Amino acid sequence: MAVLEIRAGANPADPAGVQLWFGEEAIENAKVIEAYNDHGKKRVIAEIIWEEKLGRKEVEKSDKRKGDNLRAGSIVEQMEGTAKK
Amino acid sequence: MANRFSGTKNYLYLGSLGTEVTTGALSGEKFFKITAKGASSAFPAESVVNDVVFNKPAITLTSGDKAKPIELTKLGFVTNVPQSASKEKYENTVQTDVAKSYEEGDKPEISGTIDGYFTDDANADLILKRFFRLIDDNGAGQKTYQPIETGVLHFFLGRRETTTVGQVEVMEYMPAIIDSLTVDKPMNGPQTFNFAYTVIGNEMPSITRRTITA
Repeated sequence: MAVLEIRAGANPADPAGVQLWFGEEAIENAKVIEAYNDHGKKRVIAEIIWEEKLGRKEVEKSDKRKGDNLRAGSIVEQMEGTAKK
Repeated sequence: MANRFSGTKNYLYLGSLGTEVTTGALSGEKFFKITAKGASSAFPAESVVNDVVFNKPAITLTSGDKAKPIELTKLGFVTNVPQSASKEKYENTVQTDVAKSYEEGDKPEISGTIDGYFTDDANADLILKRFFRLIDDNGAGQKTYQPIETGVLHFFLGRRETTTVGQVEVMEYMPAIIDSLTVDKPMNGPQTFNFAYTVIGNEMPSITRRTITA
């Protein structure tokens, strides 16, 4: 089974060159911001750019409110209801 | 600007030597102690037996190479680790010198103390058993009598510990014997624990500056 892997770039001491791989395929829409190696236990903070695959317009329509960047969930609706009383 | 090292997040570790590896690749990103070097050794050319080497990238032993893995355990009772180093100097002043003249010795002597609180930390036993006969009684009939021990303890002192790729970690290897112990029992307050160590030269003490790589 393919697993997510953190691999060093050409210069292993350069955090900008660190790559994320899934099996034998490099994840190209991942940008590693910070990389750590604690005696073989590797960890990265990476930005995954999903828009390339999902499409920006589709995401905004289905999952986001325009303008406020909040997800339209049940918690937000309940808070508005309480304020009116 | 150079980094200024602080005490925070830097610890004293005790290393325990594992089973000697004589063939194949060394396993794990950790320190190994070189116990033998073959004719065309895979260890760094300038290294000698008893030196420590960090296994990244992994080293594949060649014929005659041997090494022991070192497992580091953070010592849970330590507060401060003062250290001092000195060298002998030999006076060689003659009448035409304008000031006193000296020659520098080439072998430093490194020693210091380790301060902390007396706890039931298992690693504190390793120091206590240098001076006291420890007896363990589990209350159910099993009693173990331990002899007073001697020998080198493999301390590692983190001067600058980091896991961030690109930064440089600084670890001091200080193989040492313990030559005195002071344990306090005040009327109030914690019992303090203080022992003096002397670093052993033939075990090859060193400071490793290692760039963290992914």
